[in-house]
Formats: sequence, C-alpha cells, structure tokens
Amino acid sequence: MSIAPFGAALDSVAVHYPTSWRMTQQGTVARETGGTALDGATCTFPAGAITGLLGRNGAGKTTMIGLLAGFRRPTSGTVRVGPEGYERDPWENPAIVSGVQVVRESGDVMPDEKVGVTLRHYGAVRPEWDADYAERLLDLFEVDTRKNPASLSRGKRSALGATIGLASRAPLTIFDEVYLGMDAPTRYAFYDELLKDYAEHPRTIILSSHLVGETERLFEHVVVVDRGRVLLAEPAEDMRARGTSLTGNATAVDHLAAGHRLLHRQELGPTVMVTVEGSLAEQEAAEAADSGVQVGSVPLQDLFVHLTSTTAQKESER
Amino acid sequence: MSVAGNLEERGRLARRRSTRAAENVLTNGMLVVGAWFWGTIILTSVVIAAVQGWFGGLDGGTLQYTLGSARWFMFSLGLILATTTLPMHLAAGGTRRSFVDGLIRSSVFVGLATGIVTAVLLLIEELAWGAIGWDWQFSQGLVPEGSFAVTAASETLVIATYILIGAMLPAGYQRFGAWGGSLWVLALLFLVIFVDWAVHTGYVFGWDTLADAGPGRTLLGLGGGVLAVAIASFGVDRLYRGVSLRSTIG
Amino acid sequence: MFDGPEPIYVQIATWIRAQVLSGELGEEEQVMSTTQFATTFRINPATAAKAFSGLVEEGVLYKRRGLGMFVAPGARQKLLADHRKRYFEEVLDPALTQADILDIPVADIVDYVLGRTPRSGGGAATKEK
Repeated sequence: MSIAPFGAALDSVAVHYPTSWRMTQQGTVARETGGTALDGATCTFPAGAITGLLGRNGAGKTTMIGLLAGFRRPTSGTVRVGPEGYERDPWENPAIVSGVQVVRESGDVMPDEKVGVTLRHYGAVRPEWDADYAERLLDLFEVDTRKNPASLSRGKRSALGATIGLASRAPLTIFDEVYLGMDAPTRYAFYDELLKDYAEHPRTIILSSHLVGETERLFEHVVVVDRGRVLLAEPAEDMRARGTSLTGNATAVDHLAAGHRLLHRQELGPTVMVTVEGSLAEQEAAEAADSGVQVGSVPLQDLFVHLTSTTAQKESER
Repeated sequence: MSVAGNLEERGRLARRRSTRAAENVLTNGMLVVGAWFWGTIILTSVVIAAVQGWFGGLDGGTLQYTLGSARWFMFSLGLILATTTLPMHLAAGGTRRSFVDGLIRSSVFVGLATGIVTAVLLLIEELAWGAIGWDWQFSQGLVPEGSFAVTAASETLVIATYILIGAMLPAGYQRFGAWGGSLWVLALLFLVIFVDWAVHTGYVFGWDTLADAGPGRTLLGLGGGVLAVAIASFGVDRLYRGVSLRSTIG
Repeated sequence: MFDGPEPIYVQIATWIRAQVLSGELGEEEQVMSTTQFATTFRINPATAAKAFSGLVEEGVLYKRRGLGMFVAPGARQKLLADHRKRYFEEVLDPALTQADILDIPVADIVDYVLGRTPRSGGGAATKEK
C-alpha cells in the first residue's frame, strides 16, 4: 500500500505543561514541574520535503514533534497532519499516526528485550515497514541484534533509532536529534542512507537539531523555533539569503552595513567582518566591489545562532 | 479510490494491526516472564512437599499456599509492561485505543493461560497426593472439593483483573497527582479485595473453606469476577485514552 | 564542494556548465541523476533538481523520459558562444573602464595583448570567479 507524503501544519499552537507526577519504573513518584513549551506557534511542514527544525535546547522542538505524532494535544490551537489537502488532527487518529514515525533520543524501545522484539513490534504496527531494509541497516550500522537496547552504547542506540526511522518508510518521518549520539562515520552513513532512501521512497522528513552545520545542505525547507515561537518557516535558500557577510575596510563596511540590521560584528585589526540581515541591493553590491569589500554568504548555523541568541554576546551551545 | 476513502481504509487496517501488535507484545512479555515464575512455583511446591514428606505426611496441598503470590506477580508484570510498552506503541504509530484494547485482550488471554495452568497443576497435585496416600485438600475457591472448570474460570478473572489493576496504578498517579494517587491506590485495593472475595481466593479469603458454597454462590462469584474485569477494563480505558507522552521540554 | 557564497543550485549549475565547456561531459552523455548527485555531495535532491531544471531551460541539458538527464547536442557551442559574449561584457569592459580611470593609453594595452603569447585552446575564455 503506497501513500502520499504527509504534510503538517500548526496554527497558533500553545502548549502549557502542568506540574505533574509520574511513577518511575523503580516505583517512586517523581514530580515534574510545568511550564510553557509553545506559545502561539504557526508554521507548515511541506509534504515531500526534507525540513530542518532548528532551535536551541528548550525552544519547543520536541514538544512540536510530539504534537505532530499525536503524543499529546495542544493546550490551544490546531495541529493538522496528512496527505496534501487531507490533513487531519493526528490525536488518536490511526490513519494518521500509523504514518508518522518519530525517532527520539529516548529511543522508544523495549530496553530489556532483544532488539528483535522491538523491531517486530514496529513491523507489526507500521503498514510501510520494510523488515529486509531494517536488517540491512542494522548490518551497516553494526548493531548487534542479539543484545538488548539497554546494553548497547549510546551511539548504537542512536543507530537503532535511525534504523527504525528509515525502515518505517512512514509518510512523515521525524528524527529528533537522534544522530547526535553517533560517531562521524555512522552519521555520514546515516545521511547517505537517508538521501538514497528518500529519493527512492519519497516522503516528508523532519530533522530536528540545534547543531545545523553538517545537515544544512540536506534541508529544502527550514523552521526555526525560539522560546516557544516560530521565528521563521521558509525554503532553506530563502533563509540563506537572510544574511550577508561583509568583510573589508572598517569605514567601507560600516557604510554599507548602515542600512541593514546588524546581526554580528567582529574586528580583526583594521578589517571588520559583519553579518547583516538581508542581501545587498544591486547598487550596494557595486559599491562593495568598488571599495574592495568582500561579500559572502552566511552559513545557516551562524544565521541560526544570530537569529536566536538573546543577548548580543554569542552564547556557545552545549 | 479517493484519498479520503484510502485514508479511512488505512485507519481501519492500522487500528486492527496495532491492536493485534499490542496484544502480542504484552502477551509474549507476560508469558515469557510468567513461565519463569511458574517454573519457580512448581519447584517450590515440590521441594516443600518433599521436605514435609520426609518428616512424615502432609495435610492438604502445597500449591494453594503459593497461588496467592501468582496474582501479585501478574499485577507487577501488568504495571511494568504497560508503562514500558505504551511509549513504544505510540512511537510505532499505534493509538491509545488500540493499546487499551490490546491490553484488555492480553490480560484476559494471559489470565486464561494462568487459569488453565493453575487448574492443571492442582489436578496433578491431587493425583500425586492420592498416589502417595496423602490427604489432599483445597480450601480455596468457590468449589471446596475442587472443580477444574470453576478453578480455571475464577483464576482467569482474578489474573485479568490484577494485570489491569497493575496497569492502572502508574497511570492513576500521573492523572491524579501525588495525593490523589495515594487515594487511587486505596480505590484499586478495594477492587482487589472485591475480586478476591468474589471468587474466594487469595491472602485474605483463601484460608478457610467457603461456608455458603453451592451453585448459586459459584455463579455469583464468577459474576463478581466478570464485573471486576469489566470495572478494571473501564478504568484502564478512562485512564489511558487521554494520556500524554511527557517529553522533556525541548 | 559547493561551499561558495551563491545558492547551492547556482553553484551546481555553474559546475556542470564548466564540465560541458571543458569537454569532460560530452554531448549526448548522461549526467548524474539527482539522487546520485544528492548522495555524492550530501545535498537535498530538490536542490540538484532545481539546478538541472534551470540547465534544461537554458538548453544545456535535456530529459529523456525514464532514462535521465543528458547533455544537449550543441550545448558546448552554445555555452562557448555565450561565455565569449559575456567575456567582453563582464571581464573586458570593466578592465578597460579601470584602464580609463588609471589613464593607461589604449596603445599600451594593445601592445600588452599582442606581446602576450596566447595559450592554446583559448582557456582564458572560461569564466573563473
């Protein structure tokens, strides 16, 4: 059964967590303090595209993903997921949630049963699951299927998550920072598999991250969230065009930068390098060329940091 | 077929698939661990019997003293499996509804398996005691002289209820908070006592032979067991259908 | 690869044009598929597709149904003509304007050009940025 890729949309969504109690597996009761995770978030995730969901830790990414997968309901606002033109509320909707795969750092596996038990359950629920592909991926990532997830290293658990995400072939597949635990070769193997399988089996993919660098060229679309709000949601090319770097003689650079919102400024002796919002107009570009100011693009990672840093001082990410 | 029709069909299939998947994963989990438990029970009973026999004779059976622990064991299995499986089930694309349906079916199925095993073991014990020449007695249950069918049926209902109560415990804590959760435990305890009383087994009622035994009491008792399973199923449905997967805020 | 300041699809298009110009990609030769492109350079396939569709519009590539993208017949000639034309507009004109500003006599420039041994193949016509 083949199904069209799912699109998703949030419309003025707010999520407030109440303070709650939860029983841990050890039988003790843990108190969880509440808070606001999303506050009037509106955006769309276009069907069939790879979208980067970017935001700092605690910005609301995971909550947003939980809404798309029907893990929870919003406090207010609407969430819609489904084939283009047929988006529905995912909450307790088997047609929709059976097509949304979220891979979270927590894994969502049976920690003390062999890996095979978990994979069998995913295969039993998911209509588009490809068991052979799952096996090939576990081989590729060198995950020992005789072990249980609890005894796997963090990297291998991430690889297991990546396997579940890819082999589910879900019309909406979301990776929530899973690849952070993997080592570089595994991460690259994951990107390659993702692109290859995405091309062969078109679907909607969301990659959430607070580290953009390595993945930025995979994105066709980006959604940036900051403190519970959507800062921007647009094609990745548009976001790249949001910033311009100017390097050169201080007076010339500052003159050019004057008409733009300054995002970042760095002095290197008599030379300065600034990042300004937007791109240069034609005559400004000519002026830059005449005065020897180098005009460059800004990596998404830098733009993202500039756009989401609350203070002028650039905070280093953990 | 139209996209909307496709979606509807997909929903029906997905619901059926994920209900079956939840039932299977829970049943397998409980049966695998349960098999270990029963192995231990049998071994313990044999050892007790052997030791007692060494000192000369034994009144009644030994199994009935170990049976009371079986239900609490299944209670804890219900608790652990329900809490660990739900996040995976939702992440795999299942709904709460299919999880609840699978859980209820699984608890009845595992209850039935346990009920039959119990009845078979008691039968074996009775025959063994007879062969050795000991006097076999069974003071638990609705039929004092023992009845395979009634024992299997009442044990089925008891185990199913206990599994579902186990599943309700942590979910109740999440719903009602720390203080409400403690009251919730009392409410669950009430249901525990009710089902034990109905079929006249367990740690509170299982010590003396049922005084007003008879076909009427048997029917009443089994009816009470069915009611307990129904109440527990209703409770599980109410608690789980609205549950949110709490993630760290991020 | 493709780390320049322009949008990635522009850089990809530039790279393919350069390959056609240099003859590395012959006419009627098949170009990498978007999937191959995406996995080789770890970029979004849609980005590669955008570059390709631009090149199809320019007439550098053409699509064979079910087979993929091929270099169009005459593509190299077309690109050569185009780049030659642009060489005067984009390279020589600004250089001569600059010469005017610096008061360099035209004769000096002509002497310089004539004194220079031309390299074979006219590689200087390829636009390098």
